[in-house]
Amino acid sequence: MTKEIEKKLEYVTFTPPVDIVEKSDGLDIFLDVPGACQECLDVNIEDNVLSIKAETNTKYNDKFIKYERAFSLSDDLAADKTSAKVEDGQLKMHIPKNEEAKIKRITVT
Amino acid sequence: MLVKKVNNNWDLFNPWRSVGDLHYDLSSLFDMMNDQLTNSRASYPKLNVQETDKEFIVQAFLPGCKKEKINVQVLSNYLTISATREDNPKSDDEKYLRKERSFGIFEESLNLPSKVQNDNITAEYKNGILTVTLPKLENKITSVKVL
Repeated sequence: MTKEIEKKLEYVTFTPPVDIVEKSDGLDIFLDVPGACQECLDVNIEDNVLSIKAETNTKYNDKFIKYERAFSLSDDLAADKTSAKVEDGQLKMHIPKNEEAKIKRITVT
Repeated sequence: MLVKKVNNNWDLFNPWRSVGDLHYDLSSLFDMMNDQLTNSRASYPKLNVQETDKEFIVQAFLPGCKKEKINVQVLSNYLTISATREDNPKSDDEKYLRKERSFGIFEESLNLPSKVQNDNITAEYKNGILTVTLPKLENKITSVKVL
């Protein structure tokens, strides 16, 4: 038990700031995760909940930095087609909209 | 933040010492409160300063910066890190649902507690973190022969 607590103490968890941009073809999500590399990121979508976790090798006040954040997604997004890329401590994700959900504009004549 | 606490014998007898201690305690209390307040919101640390026997390691958290836009300056033992972060270009069909990330100019300065070897300072930018390594200036002890 004590070991479990000790292990928890080794990490300090931060909530990374996010930018969410809505585009005509889907959502762009940007997260600031300085210190997170490609291997230490864990992005999951389960039951329309997008969760992002990262355990970095960077220390802050003698504890390793961990990032955690989760979002619930609307049904009109094609979660299975999500793409993610990390560069210079920025995680960029794109979630396209479902084909049916794309707004079709009808020109009135 | 680097805090240097001087504890020598003279300090013990200084009647103003408790005032200095109170100031130190209060400022650390405010730092702690500030940390807790900012921790509850979206954030990541700004700076991380470590000291080893031979060097100071200063890490600045600068996600999404270009190497060319980062500037590190050292003047005697005063270190300044400045960087500019540019926002992604926005097109007309985009709409922000949430905007928490900050862009623009980052600048942090700090006074190192001892002199550093100004010619051997290295800086590396990786995964959005700038690591500046500043080797300490070795104190040469010269013993003088008594004649």
